[in-house]
Amino acid sequence: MTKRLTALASIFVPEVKPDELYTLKFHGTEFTFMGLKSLLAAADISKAGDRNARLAATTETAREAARTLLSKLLVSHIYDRPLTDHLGNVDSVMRVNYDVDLIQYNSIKHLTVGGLKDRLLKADSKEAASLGFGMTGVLAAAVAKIMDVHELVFVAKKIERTSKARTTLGEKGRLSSRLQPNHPTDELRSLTFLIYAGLSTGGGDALIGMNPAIDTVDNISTVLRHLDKIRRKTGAPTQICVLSHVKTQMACLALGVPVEIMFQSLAGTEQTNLTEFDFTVDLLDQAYTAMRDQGPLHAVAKQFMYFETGQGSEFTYNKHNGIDMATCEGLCYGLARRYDPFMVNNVTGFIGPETHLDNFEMILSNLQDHFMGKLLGLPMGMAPCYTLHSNIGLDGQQMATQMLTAAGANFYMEVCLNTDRMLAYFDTSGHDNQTLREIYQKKPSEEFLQWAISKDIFTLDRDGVVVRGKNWGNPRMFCESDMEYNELLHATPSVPGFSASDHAGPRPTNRVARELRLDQAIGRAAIQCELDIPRINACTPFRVLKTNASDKQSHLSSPELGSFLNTESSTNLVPENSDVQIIVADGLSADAVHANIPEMIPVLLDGFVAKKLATGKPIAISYGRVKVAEQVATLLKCKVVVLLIGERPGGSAVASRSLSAYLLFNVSEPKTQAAAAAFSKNPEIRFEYTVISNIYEAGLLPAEAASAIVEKCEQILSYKAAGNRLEAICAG
Amino acid sequence: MPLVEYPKSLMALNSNKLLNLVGLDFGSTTSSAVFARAAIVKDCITGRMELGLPEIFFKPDPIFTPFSNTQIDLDALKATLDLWFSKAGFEASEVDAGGAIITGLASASANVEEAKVLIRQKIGKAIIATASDPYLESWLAFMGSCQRSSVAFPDQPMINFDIGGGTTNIALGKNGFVSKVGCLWMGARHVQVQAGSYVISALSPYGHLLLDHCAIRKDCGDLLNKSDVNKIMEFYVALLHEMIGGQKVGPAWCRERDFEVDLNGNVDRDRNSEQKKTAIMFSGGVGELIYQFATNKGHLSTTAFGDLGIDLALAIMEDPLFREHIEAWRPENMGRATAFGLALHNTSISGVTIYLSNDSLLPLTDMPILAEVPANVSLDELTSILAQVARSSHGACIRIEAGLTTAVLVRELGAKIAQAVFEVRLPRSKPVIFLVVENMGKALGSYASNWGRGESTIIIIDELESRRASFLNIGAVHQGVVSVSYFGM
Repeated sequence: MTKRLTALASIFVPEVKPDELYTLKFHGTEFTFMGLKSLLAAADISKAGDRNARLAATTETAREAARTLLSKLLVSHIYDRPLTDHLGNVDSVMRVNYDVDLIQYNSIKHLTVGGLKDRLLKADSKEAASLGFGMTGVLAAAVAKIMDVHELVFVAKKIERTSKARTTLGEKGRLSSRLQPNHPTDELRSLTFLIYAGLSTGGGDALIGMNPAIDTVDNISTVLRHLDKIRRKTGAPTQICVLSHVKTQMACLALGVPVEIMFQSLAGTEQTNLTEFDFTVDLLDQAYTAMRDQGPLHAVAKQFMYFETGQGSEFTYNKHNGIDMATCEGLCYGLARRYDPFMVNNVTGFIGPETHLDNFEMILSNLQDHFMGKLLGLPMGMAPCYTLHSNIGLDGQQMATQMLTAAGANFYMEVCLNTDRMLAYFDTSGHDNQTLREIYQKKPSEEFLQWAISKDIFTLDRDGVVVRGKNWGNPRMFCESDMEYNELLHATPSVPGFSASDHAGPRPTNRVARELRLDQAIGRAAIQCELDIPRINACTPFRVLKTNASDKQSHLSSPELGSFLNTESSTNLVPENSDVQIIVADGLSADAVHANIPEMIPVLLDGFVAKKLATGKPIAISYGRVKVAEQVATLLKCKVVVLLIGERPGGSAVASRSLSAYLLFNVSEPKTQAAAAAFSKNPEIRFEYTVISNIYEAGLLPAEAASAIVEKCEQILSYKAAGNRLEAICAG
Repeated sequence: MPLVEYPKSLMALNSNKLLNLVGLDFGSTTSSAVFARAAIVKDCITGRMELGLPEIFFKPDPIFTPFSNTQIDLDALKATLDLWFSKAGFEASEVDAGGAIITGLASASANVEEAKVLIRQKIGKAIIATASDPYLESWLAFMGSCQRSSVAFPDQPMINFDIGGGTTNIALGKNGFVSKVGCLWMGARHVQVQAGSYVISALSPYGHLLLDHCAIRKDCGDLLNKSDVNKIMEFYVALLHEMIGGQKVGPAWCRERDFEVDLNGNVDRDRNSEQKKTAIMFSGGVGELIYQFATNKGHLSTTAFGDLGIDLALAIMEDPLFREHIEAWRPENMGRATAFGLALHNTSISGVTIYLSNDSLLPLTDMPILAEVPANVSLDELTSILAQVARSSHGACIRIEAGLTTAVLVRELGAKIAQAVFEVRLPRSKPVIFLVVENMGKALGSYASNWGRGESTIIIIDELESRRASFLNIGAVHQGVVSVSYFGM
């Protein structure tokens, strides 16, 4: 039974109302919040994204004042005040959120937000599961903000959200997983190994879903057919998906490729979805309809859509419309609910410290998201994850999954040994999932479990309890020969061990764990490393500038601070009108600068001299971000800036020394600006960018990168264009 | 019909560049072909371009190499090529890389040059068509037969005997790389018989030599008895043993070999040895028969092919050492090993930052490799080699040994190249192509060309593993990289 989509135009949305002042006097202090957006934001725990957007409450008392005010608002007060976009309009995401069950809404509209929270706490499972259908994402967020950890876990645990394709997810006592066999080139042997490894640990019952490195119809079709082949060969009852753009998947579906589950990333504002994720609600409606009518599982699946969300994407793109991260996330869920998805996966933590600084912020956001998603009717899976430049680590991730399992999360990711080989971040593993199953006495979905028992991945002990079987963690079982197994294993990076002797109970052995943690520690050290000015001065004399970030921590947690020079530095820069200006900045890895700059600078300077390009004295900037180059280019009035900046370290020690070169072309000359504006459709455009990345010993060697940069600078100055416009000109 | 109609604009997302790869092998007895496609893909972590896993989409059954008396039947050859390409859906102009090879007795045919011309006309400029290249044959057969196993078991040395009608090509390798090769004038078809009998119908020069060596005083029209056949088989099996034993094989039988050293250092006859046993595998027509028999996939009556191939396969299987390895290891592709090697392994992909002083130069074919020099080569030596390039008919290649790892070395070598090119007045019409192991093509080219101000035509192709070869073909630029195919080993 699938859903009929309500036409957007027929969804009732209350009229927009002017912002009101919410005021609370407490202990002689008056706390005021102008408008609902401001009140909602201040009521949340302090998170980096909201702090950076200047939305978070600055004190504990201000936060509690906001929570008190929010608690006293009627549900109908929030319902009657749709939040608006940057132009003051109701966007399509907000509109979809109002597609609620009016019977349920009418049963709660007279309650205060605090009263609604109490009702949810008192309600039985059935009632708690029903009430959310009468709520918008904004209301769910409002309730989440006034709940503590126990409440977030307690209410979410009551709400069971099941979904059904080949397997059934979300039933009581079950814990499923999505296998994520990613590879930097989508190499099919490596994908196969990672799938075999995952299946052998009892993973993948929710989905075998790969994030592609190459988003073309050809490649996605190839990978989907390969996943289909593996699914058939192993007999594993699950479903497959390649997480490419919805347009690519629709094209694949049209070609008869097995698009069993349709994926799309969602954000909580239309502006983000349209300009960053490149979709509209209309397009998602088309995708849903195509899957409903033509999807290969339409005869057996009740659901077939898969969405990924996570707090902070709207803020990262600066398209949050003044709405805090949690509320945006609630709006995402209101959008996802329209399509009755098979899975929703929350990847809060993926972006970095600009949205979630540390374990605490990440864990709390995950609990909020899980609660909001379940409340609003979604089969929530969770991916509490991290990048190395935040203060989030494996321990925080594991704390999050312990609580989320207690709260009844439907599924987690299954990334082999925690390290994603393509996206360079860290997620939960098959070992983690099995550990949680054993601690909380959970099982995979029944259909999958029976298959896994037949393969001796699991077995039943004398008491009938499901335990690890003799094939648990043995991917060799799916191969026809040692040769096939070895071939698959050798095609897969970052697997320090996955044989029977590499498991200790449901965990990786200490040897494997130490190797993985050491790699992460090296990556973190590269991020924390300070830029060594004397060391780079040995290549050539640099002039040293400073940004508004006064220390490493503020630099990492606020991209804005590193994007601008401090007053002293900026006032010292005067127009020089050079052709090229070299800037070296630490970015997210000063180690990358130290490792590559000594090889690059001599070649760059040789090249610029040979090409007769006037070059300003090189600049070094500590705590610098990419955007600072624009300010320098503006102040110096140079034509091109070559910014050499450390990349975010990923999973391997060697990649922690990876540098990028951003070539900024200053399109200040009127004719050039007009051409750039016409090409980009951005009338305000001031710079065009060409990027040369992966400069390190295992990628593009630094001397080679330098000569490529010289050649590209010459092209930029010759054609008076950079980025895609330059490539278009060069391609004729 | 597609399930759902969508606007064609969505199909614009379909932009993978696929290389069309072809391998054609014309041997003493049989000829085979492989047609494949592979995408050029970018590693999003390292930024490097790679040739993705190939898709083999057409591999016709091997045919008997068309002979008319002792010459290649050119009309039949053309018809075969037309048929294969038609079934594969390829036009000659669409072939990007791979190769064609004429081996064994076919390469000794009087009209082999005409056959080469025909193949060249048919399969396009990007493809090699060569004969009499036993090192290449051995290398290709190893890659087609053992490469996957060799990579899957990187510590395991492997030796491949590619036994055809006229020659046996031998290659020893480890972890996907061939270290030693050799070639014997040993094959199933030096003594041809009437199918179904042992009445001699034809003898190659080596067939005469073989009978003399085995003291069999017989000629065409005579019947070989069981004892005669046994003597020949014993001699051939002994030859194989001699090759892995590293002993000298009579010069008459040894066509080419680059190992005078003791291969037995790797081939383990001692079960107690801790040294890794060298795995022995067989390919070629006789190899195909060996594994066919070993897996009980049908027994043919002896001499069904009008030669001694079946007897040779059975004789090898009866040898205790070989039998052990036949049971333990399974090569790939067997009879088609050479064609697979050509299609899938003879082409390398360059790095993405190569240096081209002129984009319109490529593709280039039959470029001789004149020398291999270290990164710190002297200016005198470099000048001398570049003088040879200046005297060449259409330019030449110079290989730089591994070790060009720093900007300092690149600047120094680049400056020497620039000076040497200037001193010999290298004409623009004679491109000099430097082959570099490290990812330093653009940097070296920049210095070698005085940052583009030089007059000469310089090409630097980087990220190429060191391969012994005398010639190479360079394909056109696709997504910033070029394909390089080797021959003349």
